[in-house]
Amino acid sequence: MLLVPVLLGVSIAVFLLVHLAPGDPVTSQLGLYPSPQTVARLRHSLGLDDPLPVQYIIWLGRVLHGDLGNSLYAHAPVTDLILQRFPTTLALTVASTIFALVIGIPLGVVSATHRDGIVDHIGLILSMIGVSIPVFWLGFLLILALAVSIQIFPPGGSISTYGPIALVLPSVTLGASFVGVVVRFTRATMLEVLGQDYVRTARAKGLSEMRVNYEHALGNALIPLTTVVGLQVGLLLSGAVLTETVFSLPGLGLLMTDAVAARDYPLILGSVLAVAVLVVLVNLAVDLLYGVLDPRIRYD
Amino acid sequence: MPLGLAVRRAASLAARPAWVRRFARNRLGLLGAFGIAVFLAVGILAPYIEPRPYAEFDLAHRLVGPSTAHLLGTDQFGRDQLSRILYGARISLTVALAGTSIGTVVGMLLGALAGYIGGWVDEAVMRAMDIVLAFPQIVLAIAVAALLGPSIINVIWIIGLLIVPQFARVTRGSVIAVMGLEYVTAARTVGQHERAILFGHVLPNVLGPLVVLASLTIPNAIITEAALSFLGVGVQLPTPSWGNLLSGGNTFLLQAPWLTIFPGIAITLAVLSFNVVGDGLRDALDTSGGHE
Amino acid sequence: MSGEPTLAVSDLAIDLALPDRTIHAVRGLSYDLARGEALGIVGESGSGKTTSALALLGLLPKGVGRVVHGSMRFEGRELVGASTRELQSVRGAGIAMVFQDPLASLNPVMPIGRQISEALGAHKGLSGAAARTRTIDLLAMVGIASPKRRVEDYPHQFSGGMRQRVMLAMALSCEPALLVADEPTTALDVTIQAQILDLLNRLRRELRMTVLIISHDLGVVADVADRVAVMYAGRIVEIGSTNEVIDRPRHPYTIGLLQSIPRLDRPRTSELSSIEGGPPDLSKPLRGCPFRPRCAWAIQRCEDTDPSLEPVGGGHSVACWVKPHQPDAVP
Repeated sequence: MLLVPVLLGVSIAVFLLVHLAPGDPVTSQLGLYPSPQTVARLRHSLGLDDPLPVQYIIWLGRVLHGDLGNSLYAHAPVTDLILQRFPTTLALTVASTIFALVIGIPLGVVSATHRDGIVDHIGLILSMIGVSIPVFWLGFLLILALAVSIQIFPPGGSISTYGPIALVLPSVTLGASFVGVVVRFTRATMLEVLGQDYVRTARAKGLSEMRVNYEHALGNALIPLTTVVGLQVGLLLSGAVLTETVFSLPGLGLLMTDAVAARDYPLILGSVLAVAVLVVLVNLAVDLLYGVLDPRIRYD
Repeated sequence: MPLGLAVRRAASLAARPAWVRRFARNRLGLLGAFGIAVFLAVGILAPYIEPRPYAEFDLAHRLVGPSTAHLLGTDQFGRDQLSRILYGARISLTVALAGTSIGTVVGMLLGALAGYIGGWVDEAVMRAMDIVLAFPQIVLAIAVAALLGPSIINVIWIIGLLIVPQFARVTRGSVIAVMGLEYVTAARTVGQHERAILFGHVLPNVLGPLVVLASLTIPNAIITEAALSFLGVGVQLPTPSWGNLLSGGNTFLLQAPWLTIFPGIAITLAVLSFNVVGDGLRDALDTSGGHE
Repeated sequence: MSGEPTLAVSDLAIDLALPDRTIHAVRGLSYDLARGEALGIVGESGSGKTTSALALLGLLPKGVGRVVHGSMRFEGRELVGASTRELQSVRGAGIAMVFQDPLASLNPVMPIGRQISEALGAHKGLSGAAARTRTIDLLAMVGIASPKRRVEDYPHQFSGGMRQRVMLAMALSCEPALLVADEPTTALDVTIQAQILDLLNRLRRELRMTVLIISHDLGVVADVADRVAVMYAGRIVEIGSTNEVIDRPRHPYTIGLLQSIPRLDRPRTSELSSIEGGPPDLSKPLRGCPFRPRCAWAIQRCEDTDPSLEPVGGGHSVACWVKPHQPDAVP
């Protein structure tokens, strides 16, 4: 991926969105009925009478220095708010990814090695349902079942209040849709890999089916899986916004939906920019990881 | 034209029964198609089949659980939930289908343009698509919805915007592939007008992959509508949509869980039906060509 | 060469179930392989030679290949119907196999050293430093330069010939009683082919191995094998000592194969010929001799009855009603 052009494009897109945002930053700062002269002076001092490209350069300069403006309602720098919420979202996405991989990979392998068997059929149906359930609804169902009927988990709240247990239901919720993707992709790649000559070689050596399937076949199937996991980051962050809202888990997503409810535009756009940059960077990291995992690329 | 037409006729005559037959063998796919038919019928007939007017208040029967009088219970104003879900199908499916249609048409045109003209047009269009794709869908949708203000029309536009890049990419790829084929070169050498080639030969050939993509996009569109409405930036009350029914219902999660459970079942079943059909179509048309 | 043969295959039949039809790929295959002997099996693709070799290790494609009847006895143990566990103890340790395409046959994301030593772990209980030492010895034995440095390398870092040497090292790691080499040189350049065949011959002498070498190329097989079996349409049509079969072929198919090989010791009386036509469709029932449609000597009897192997003297057997002598020339 062309990192710099995409990041620049993302920043231009967000900048244009800032300009689309309703509410004039000038009038909102000056209160009711300001004189036209005051407005003009403030516009000038804020650089709002400069041509758009000039404003963009100035804005970009500030963004690069970590200045995303101030939240209208929280009265704090947007950057601080984002950094404060980021660890929760990171923990949530990492935990749900682990959940999805731990459940999805073995299920995908068994589905492939026992093709058309009972696990395969169940796995296919479960993964189909998994990708079809709206995450937020699944969240409510889990709350009803495991936080209300049987009170095992807290119905929602932050990690600082409840500890890591606050992450369990949100991670399962967010991971559920991901499990389906992992199962289906693992199954497809495994079926492809199992037909390869080197799998036959491994079997011809007298290795157990377990080692043939999990060491040789899965070892090769995992490489394309990393790309898929990388491509899911955007989807996971989308899901995280909804999951955090359902569970009142104070991460970036909840920050964003709260900002939307409060029409706090600098905060909304700052979060969007942060999340988009994060997605681009994660994709870059996945590309690099691919090189580490696949020796054929490493030495080329 | 005769050459291209003949080729296309022959191709479609040979291909159509095959994929229809393959799809017809897919029992799950047929079940999904039946599900879609039911949901569409419900959406169209909602005003005639709702057991009670969906907006009718009945303050004497607020938050009543499922019973024979109200099969799916009532909400905080005593409105019949079954009626609201039936009516919600109309709104949610309209939004999803309209959004998908807009995105499909725009994406197709952009992709065809990029693939057909090539050069800097291709570069510009596809880089713009990369940028849209860099944003997580729901995050971009929320931001744009917050800026444009909540309304049904805006949700449709947003859904369209989100899916344009995928359709542009698929169309562009297919157009470039098809343009290398012999009969297109032949049409060109006999001096057919460029536009005639594009619309007469190239686009009909990319329809297969686009149909598959569209059938897999509709379920996402349904979820996006539900998510935006759930977050309060989509379809606004009192118009019922599956998303805002959920959002209204979860306020009463403990007293009236049915208000959360049933709209979710409706969404899941609709999405599942479309997903199963999309999968079946993909297998039947076998346009996958590897991993996305 | 006395006592029980290392491998005794008798009346083996294998079906391959494809989605739209079932191919009777092997139709009554029988041969013995004495200890220390090298038998070559020659045939074109689809003759059943590779299928029968994969069956030895129970490696027929799952859900597709099936042994219909017959027996394969390896060192007295019946392999037909053996459990996966029994087969696993034979694979690599008793019978080892080298495949056609060494690049595709090696795991691309595992260092070659580990691919060799894991067989040692599975059968000899060797691990760690002991396995590593043995692996390095094996690599040196198959002629890989500075093996110590190369154990950590990946398959794509080797040339085609070197990869096939790695495959050989892997196959020989647990000192198998029988080495099956399926088209071991087909994917390689001609000069590399010769090197690999030399290596195979040297290893065979040094380790006193029993070898089953399979190829579509009679020249390759003749380089290594003591005896040659020619397969056509799923069974053997001619078998005998390598010299006998090459100097005095009696089956029209073998004669055709030999005429398609350039020879320096023969006057160039006729142009190099290839046998016209293709092998029969093995998914359909056959009547008469399956080679008949391509045979220049065919007589009425060939239409009706399939000939079986008959000795023609000198341990040489042929399945043909006519058994032409090659000097009779091609009519």
